Amino acid sequence: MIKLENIQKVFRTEEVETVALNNISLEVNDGEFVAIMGPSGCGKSTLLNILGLLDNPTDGIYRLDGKEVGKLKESQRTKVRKGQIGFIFQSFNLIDELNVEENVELPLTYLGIPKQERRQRVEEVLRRMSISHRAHHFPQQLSGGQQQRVAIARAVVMNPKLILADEPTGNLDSKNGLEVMQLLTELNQEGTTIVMVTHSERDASHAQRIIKLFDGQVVPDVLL
Amino acid sequence: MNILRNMIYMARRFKTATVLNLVGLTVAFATFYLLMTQVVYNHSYNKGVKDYERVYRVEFRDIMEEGRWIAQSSRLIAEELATLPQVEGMALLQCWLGNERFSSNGTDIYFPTCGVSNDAISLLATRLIDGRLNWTEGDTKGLVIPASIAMNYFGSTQVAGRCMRGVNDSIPVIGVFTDMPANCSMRNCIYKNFGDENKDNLNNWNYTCYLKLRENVDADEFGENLGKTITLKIYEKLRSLGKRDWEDAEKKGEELPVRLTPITETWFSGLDSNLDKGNRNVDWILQLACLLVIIIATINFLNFTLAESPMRIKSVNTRMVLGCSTSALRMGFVGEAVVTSISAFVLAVAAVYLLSQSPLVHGLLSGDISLGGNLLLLLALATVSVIVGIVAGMYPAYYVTSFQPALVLKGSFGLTPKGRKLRTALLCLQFIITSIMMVYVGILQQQVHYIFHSDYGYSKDEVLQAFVWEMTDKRDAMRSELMQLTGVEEVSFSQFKIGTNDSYMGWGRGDSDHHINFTCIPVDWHYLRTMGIEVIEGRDFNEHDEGVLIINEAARKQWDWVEMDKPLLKDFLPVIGVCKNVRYKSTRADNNNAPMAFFITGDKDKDFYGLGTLNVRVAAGIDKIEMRQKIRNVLVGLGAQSGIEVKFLDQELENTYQGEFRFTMQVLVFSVICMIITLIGVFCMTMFETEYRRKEIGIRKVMGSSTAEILTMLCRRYLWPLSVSFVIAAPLAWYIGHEWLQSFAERTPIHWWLFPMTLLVVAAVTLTTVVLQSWHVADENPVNSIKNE
Repeated sequence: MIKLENIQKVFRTEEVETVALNNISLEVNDGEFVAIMGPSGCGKSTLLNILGLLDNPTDGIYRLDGKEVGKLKESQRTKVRKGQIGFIFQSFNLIDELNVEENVELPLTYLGIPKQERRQRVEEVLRRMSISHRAHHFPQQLSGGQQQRVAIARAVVMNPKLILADEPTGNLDSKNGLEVMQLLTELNQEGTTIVMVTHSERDASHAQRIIKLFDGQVVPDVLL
Repeated sequence: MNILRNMIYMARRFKTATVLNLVGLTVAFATFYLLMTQVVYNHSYNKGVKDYERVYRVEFRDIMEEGRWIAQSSRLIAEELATLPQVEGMALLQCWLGNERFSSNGTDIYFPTCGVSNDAISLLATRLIDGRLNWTEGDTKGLVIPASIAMNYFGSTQVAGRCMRGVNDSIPVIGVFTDMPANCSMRNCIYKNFGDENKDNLNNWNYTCYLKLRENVDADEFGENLGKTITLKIYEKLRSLGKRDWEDAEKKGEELPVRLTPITETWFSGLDSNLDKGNRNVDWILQLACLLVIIIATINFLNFTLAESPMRIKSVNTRMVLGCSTSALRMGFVGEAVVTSISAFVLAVAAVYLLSQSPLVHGLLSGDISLGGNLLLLLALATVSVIVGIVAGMYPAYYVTSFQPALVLKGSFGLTPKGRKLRTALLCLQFIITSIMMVYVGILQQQVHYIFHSDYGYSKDEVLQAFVWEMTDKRDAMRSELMQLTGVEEVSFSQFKIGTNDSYMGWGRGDSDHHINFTCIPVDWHYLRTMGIEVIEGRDFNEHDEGVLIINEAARKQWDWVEMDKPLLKDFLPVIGVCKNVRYKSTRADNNNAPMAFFITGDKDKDFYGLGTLNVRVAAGIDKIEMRQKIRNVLVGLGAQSGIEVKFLDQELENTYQGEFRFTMQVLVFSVICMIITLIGVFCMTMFETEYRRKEIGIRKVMGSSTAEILTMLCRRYLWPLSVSFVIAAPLAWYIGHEWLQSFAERTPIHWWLFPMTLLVVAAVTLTTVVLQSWHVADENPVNSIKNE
């Protein structure tokens, strides 16, 4: 599903040039659950952003489902991203002014799905995430665990092929963290490819493969 | 120091918003000042007249038309008024100014002149410089001149006893007075005594009469009984003169409707089109505009401080935790806003100083806009700026300090429903004001278009006109030479330029059966053909006519006894034709219902009526500019001064409607300023909003939103308030526009399409501002905004 060849990402400011990713090559197959680990600043989130088409690599080739997507413009990236990739963030990134239902509905709106169908799919996914009783609450009224479940609901509501999770349990206690990881595992078992960035060995243990990064480079694959 | 440090920090953080806010305030303060100078001008009208509190203009009703008040007086009546015990003095001035040639060291100079009664100038002028300002019964010779003319002609103001060389003789100057201010009924022209002219004539209403009442006389009480008192005196006077003019009225016990208008209020009366150029609606709108521009700027400023405040909550609460008192923090906030506001005031003063050097701004306003001449206004503006600062600083100061210090706000006030509602409400108010002004200016423009493009009843586009008063003895030569020019179709002479004035010669005549009042316009027999005025009954003038009238349709309708080629009244002029109603007065007057007659004097009276206006009809489609030059060359060749002005009627209309055009221009400029200030507000709000919503925008983009969808979302935020505001503004604008149009008897309808068009323009400009400002955030890589969290 994902194939990276010699991916480089360099951040340049007037004074400093930082190499965030240095000739990274890797593959992620359909239905895989991959964890990306490494110390702070090793380029995990940068890699995830490139995988999620939120950013372009400075150099190298990125193929998603066999199509080169590493050099697309923002508008083209948006088109590819829509409906294919779901995101889960450490800080949830829910929109404060929208209630739970509206937050989850958001990606469907941008896909142009009719309102009735949207509502139906949102209801289903909220039920599945056991958060439907909070459908009309606003993010600020929810606990961290509940917020992350909403974020996961939002990520899966459009049935994406790929879910990218950036430290999804980073802001949660161990109980809520475990629940989230169980949800991700379930999704993976249903066929969704998951790439997760994490610092936690315990969370990584849910994945089938761990990619370790150090100073912007891949340390050889570790099979579990 | 803290205040300044905080201000500098915030200004650095939000450079563009700070600069725009300051610009908005500066523009608003400068606009307030400039518009207020016009308001001050309106309200200080005639306050340059000596003892103005006791001076009144005498006005009469039913003289020219039933129910219409006029500012003109008959000399006979004025002389009788002067004899009343409550009256300290009476000033009688001719309604129209002449233009006379004087020579100085071989050079011709033209000065405006006006005939007056013996004590007129000494009664009205504030300060004598040299000589005396009045004439005596036996000695009515000599000129009274203002200092400006004395300086122009003699190079000195101490010139009593020196002579001015006129066309035929030298006339001594008997007195010099200090120039009257521009906003005064008394002009700075050469004053001559009109001697015994029309002394016992009741039917000549070509003077303006001012009365100065004695101290302690109750003007209201005096005015109430004036009609009765003066009517009796007139009857008595007429009997003593053996005249029977008002015999019927006396028998019926009719009373002359008369009233006194304080000289300070004549500006707004609109009775004398040459002098009373004020308009109460306009004045009211200008005052409202001053208030509105300050409100709009205050809203911007308040929105700006409101938008800034969430970013300061943390630091404010930290200070509170560290022991700073709430009142000190609040004072600091308000202090910052006041300092900003005062800075804008200082910038506005500088801007006004620069603008006061521009002739364009002087053309836009009638009043004195110099800073030195408006110190009180400056003081008022300074006070306003402090109040604006306090208002803009107060609410955020209370809001930011209203939390428990331990609780540092998690969310952002900028996006809480309360904060958004408040700012949306303020934005709506701005949109309402701007929309009202934009629609209003549209209505004004429609009337201006109507003035220029509606049917005048004559060919205004094909007629060139010039004043040739100094060469009326060469009328035949002028006509003969001009007719030889290719493209000239007809040439004629008249006493007035029609369509450019609201006051012409009024004739009141009567016999045992009828009493009529009408406007009489003396012309020569080529006139109707030259102007393209259609005769619809009877016939046009011919070269053999002498002492005959052609009346308009309105007169025909009112005077149902009229028969062609028969006298209009017993022992009066015959009517030979009826012409279509023409717009001989401005659109302010009802030209379709006021009786008027063109009067052909015949050769013997041509000079008496002074047919000093040349009218030249040129063929359609010729080069008019070139033709104008050719006509000017002919006139100069026949002895006219080299600077003689030959104008198209359109140019004359610009003078006639100077007040309206100036007001339209003022409103237009003001509307644009309102729009700019509102847009500055929208720009700043969008900037803060996108700043607050950066994360949200990033998330939306991650979820698949395109840049266009983000922009649409942000635009929708402004489109609804704008639409709702417009629905509120439209009827208000219609009402204000409708009220203004009431000052025109002939007026444009308010077209429906003006409203959607204005909405479209305001919406387009607003949304463009939103898109321009929010584009970079909407188009930003979402990684950046999410990472910033």
